[in-house]
Amino acid sequence: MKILSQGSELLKGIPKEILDLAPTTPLIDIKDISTAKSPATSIFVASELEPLQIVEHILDQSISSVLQMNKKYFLEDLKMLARLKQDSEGYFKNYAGHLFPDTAEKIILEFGHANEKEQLRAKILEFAQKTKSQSVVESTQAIFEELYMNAILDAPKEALKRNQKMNHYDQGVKATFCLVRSDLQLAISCSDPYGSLDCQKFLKRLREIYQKGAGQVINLKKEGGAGIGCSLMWENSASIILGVIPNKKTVVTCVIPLGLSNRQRAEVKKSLHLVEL
Amino acid sequence: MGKFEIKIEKAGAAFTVQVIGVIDEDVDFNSYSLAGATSLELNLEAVKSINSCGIREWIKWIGTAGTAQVTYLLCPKIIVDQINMVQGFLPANGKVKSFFVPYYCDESGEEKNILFTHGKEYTDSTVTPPAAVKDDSGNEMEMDVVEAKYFKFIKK
Repeated sequence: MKILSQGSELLKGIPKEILDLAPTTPLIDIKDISTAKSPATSIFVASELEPLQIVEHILDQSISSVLQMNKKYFLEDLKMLARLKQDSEGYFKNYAGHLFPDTAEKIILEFGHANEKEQLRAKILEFAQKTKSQSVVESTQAIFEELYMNAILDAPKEALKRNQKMNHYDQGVKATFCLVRSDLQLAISCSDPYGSLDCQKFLKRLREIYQKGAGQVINLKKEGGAGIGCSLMWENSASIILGVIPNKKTVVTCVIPLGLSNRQRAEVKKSLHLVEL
Repeated sequence: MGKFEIKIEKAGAAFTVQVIGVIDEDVDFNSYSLAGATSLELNLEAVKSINSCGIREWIKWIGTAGTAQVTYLLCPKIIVDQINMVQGFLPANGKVKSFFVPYYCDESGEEKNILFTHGKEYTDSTVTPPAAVKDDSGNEMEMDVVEAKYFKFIKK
């Protein structure tokens, strides 16, 4: 990564070996956003942004990555982003495993039918329980619920609306959960074979929720989702990575920081990253 | 038992409801009519998780209770989070009679959920936590929430 902000306190002292992981990716203090030449490919670093501000930056300034400084995790987050930027295709092949290759444990679970949900839940909760933190288990479960519904219900419906000609779950294709755990974080990815995620729509919805409140914008009609799952995922994690190869694959990852109490985790500043191939 | 169950006991127009398990996209509240209730007390201790579709169906279901006095008790953190995050999850005329607050000990890493009861640990506008909460080894535990966020529904 190339530090383009001179004199930024946030970008001081980053080891060269981490910068070298993605040598051409610009790393910019968000205060210098107006001077960024290639905002879409840069990583912007901040420290005091609320979720709504992050979403507005991404929507209004067409940027793809806002990383917030959380001291204990910052260098790991930078390494993760360097891997994402340097080899985006790797993210679509190995999901959370690509972002955090040096992890204590990993599980991969394929699924393609609604009747597999409880089996999936049991395995994912068993994995999360190894963190020995009830609040991490609850967050993992909340994220699993929303990712699962998106993959098994929403993504196929969106694909149908777009008349996507491709194999569907009932023809044998699978979605995949990938979970990885280290001392510092637990990451949960879900990949579906539809590629129908619309990042702009997702972000606009998030913006609406944070502006007006989930209760004001919730979809109370029977058809479709409730439209607040995006915020539930982000409220239960520190970072979200939204990845899509249109009409081919969607991979969404949520990262939960470990080694913190519930209150400390709630105070962690959030980050959001997009990758579209 | 399936992943979700509701038990309703009726004493005239006073309904006592116990909600058990997972409230998700498969939930069907249609079999559990709240029509005729003038008071509705919901014990939520055994709710294991609730997703966005479950939140939607919950709001619609509770809405069918009309003008009944609605009370939630023994709310776990996942329910308190929804009460705070989603306006309407607790109806406008609803009250929370008791809820759990997570506590944590830095020294031992132990987690505990402590019950706060209306009239004791909180009123309609104030929170008075218990004097001391200790883990199993006698170490002091701290309230493990961002108070402004977690008690938001109380201090409205």
